[in-house]
Amino acid sequence: MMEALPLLEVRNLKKYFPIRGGFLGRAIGQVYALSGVSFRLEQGQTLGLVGESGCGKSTLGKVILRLIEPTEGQIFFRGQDISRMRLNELRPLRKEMQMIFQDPYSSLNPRMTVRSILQEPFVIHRIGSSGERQRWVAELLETVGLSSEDLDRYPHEFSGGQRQRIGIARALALNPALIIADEPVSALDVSIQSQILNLLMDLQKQRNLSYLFIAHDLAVISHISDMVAVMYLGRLVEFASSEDLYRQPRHPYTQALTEAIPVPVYDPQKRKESRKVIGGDVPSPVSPPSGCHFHTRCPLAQDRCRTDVPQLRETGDGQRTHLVACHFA
Amino acid sequence: MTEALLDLRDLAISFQTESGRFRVVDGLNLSVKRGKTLGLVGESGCGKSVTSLSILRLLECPPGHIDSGSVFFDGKDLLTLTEEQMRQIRGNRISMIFQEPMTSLNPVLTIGEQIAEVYRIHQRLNRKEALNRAREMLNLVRIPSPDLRLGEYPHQLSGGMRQRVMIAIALACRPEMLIADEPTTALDVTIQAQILNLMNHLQKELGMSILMITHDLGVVAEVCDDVVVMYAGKAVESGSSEEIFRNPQHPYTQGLLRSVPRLGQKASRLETIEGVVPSLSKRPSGCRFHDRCPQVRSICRESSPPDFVHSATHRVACWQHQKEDG
Repeated sequence: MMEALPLLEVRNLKKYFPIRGGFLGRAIGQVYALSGVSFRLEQGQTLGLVGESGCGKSTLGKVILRLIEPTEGQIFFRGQDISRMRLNELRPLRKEMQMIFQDPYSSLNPRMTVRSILQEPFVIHRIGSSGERQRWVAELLETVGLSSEDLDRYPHEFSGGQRQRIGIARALALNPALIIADEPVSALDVSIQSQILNLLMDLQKQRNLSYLFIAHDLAVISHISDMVAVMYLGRLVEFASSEDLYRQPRHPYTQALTEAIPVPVYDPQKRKESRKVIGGDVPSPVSPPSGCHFHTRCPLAQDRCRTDVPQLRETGDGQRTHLVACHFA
Repeated sequence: MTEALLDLRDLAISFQTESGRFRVVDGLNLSVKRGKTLGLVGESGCGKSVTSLSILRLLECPPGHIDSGSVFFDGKDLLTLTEEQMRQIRGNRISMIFQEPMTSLNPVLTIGEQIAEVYRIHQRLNRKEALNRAREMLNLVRIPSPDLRLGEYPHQLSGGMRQRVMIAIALACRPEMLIADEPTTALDVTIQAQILNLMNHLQKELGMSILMITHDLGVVAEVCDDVVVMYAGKAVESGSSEEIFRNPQHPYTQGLLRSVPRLGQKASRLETIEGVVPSLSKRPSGCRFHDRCPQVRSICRESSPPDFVHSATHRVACWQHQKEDG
């Protein structure tokens, strides 16, 4: 297993969006959405990508699927570099990579029945006869816990959680190896959120799926992920197993994030002393701070942090990887 | 025991829709003690925001309608006041902040003008004095370089800063009561933590009471002294934070608490509450939670449970507690 290729690997991935303005619409600046991100995702595993708004996590998901073209860097899917591949070469690979979106209200076409939504992947990729497709869509819907009687209903007839199930069924249609889920539960109520997380975990076991799970909620991420990557302003700051990240968060940003999550437990001690909270706002990705991007908010920041970009380096025990990008971790 | 500043008694609110009239809040009781924070918690559509709007009589009527009940504030029933009397209370003695600070701020007025407006209306201060007071408020909510910010527009501020401005506006007249409807839901966690700390600090400094409306049990546990859990228009459980989080009694509260993923609990299945929140037109008979309840009994399908007393401060609307009522 050690020799096996990872399902997905990205190397030094960068994405800069031009800001256009002025009379001729020339680029007058850049949004540094991704400034060199590298990681691997093994077959059958879940990599959680966590960070606050504007950290580049959604851009990363879209760049991997080439829904957005990368500025620089490489994306390997089963060892094959897809970052420069032409679209007609890419299309067969896209069957293997699917996406689930945050908002089940806007990601399903309101004018299509569930049947036609679920048939569409087969139609686009010209798979199966009409009879086979009918059977498959019914099976898909049952796989995600809905009934085949729902096939001729429209998205608006379903609740948020049910719509997310339809989105999951659509993603499963072509039997993908990788699913990129971008905030799949953040629009849902708690009781529904747990149902969807359980469904995703069950499907993973049944089908040996790999997930790239993108979310802002560290508790959700740590629950579902094997490995967790913490992002801040376009860079990975920490990469470790879910357990290690919880037990020993090493980057000051990860520590702040962990500390900031409100926990539904009554703790009079914690209530008395105001919690340690990092100040300030996330800086704009248009002009990220020099050196370590986090230095403007970091309680440990030294002169060096303002000039030198810390590289991700191994701090694990040799058995398990634990990467941290901090001069002082 | 502290006297309640805000006391809702048997409040019932309904909505007129094309397909009929529906009760969205049904016989709600809650009281916010002086200087304390009460959390009103529940999932979408449970009636928590409608309740908060009704307190200040901001609910749009029609389609909304307050059918019955009272909203006592400092001993007076707000539902019996004239619109003119209400105006003396809104923004002055009771203030409100909302989830989305961008839509609650006026995009074409500067921050300074928007805060100063409160002083000009409620305290009839002149422009200069009002602006001075606005600057003090920005200091109070810890906005850096307040002089600069006074002249800026909402779009120039980050989400966290906008929420601080909203808080500054809400607290300008030092209200006795603040109603906060999902004040941190749109914010990132590190910014949420800043805002919650700020609210805690200001509450101590100004001695106000807070009604915190949220879906986030974590936020409730961190800032609320007392809790009311709502489900489908009814309060199913109420008690102190300690009682609700250490010893939840209603199967819905128990289910909610168990279905929240927590840091460091990996890879096991989460416990869930089966089914979905019933829509307004399909609310079940009897206890509204019975079709999702793991401990359902036949009586639950037939009649709606009253509030049973679990302790002096702890009430549970669940038939399992009938015997304890003695």
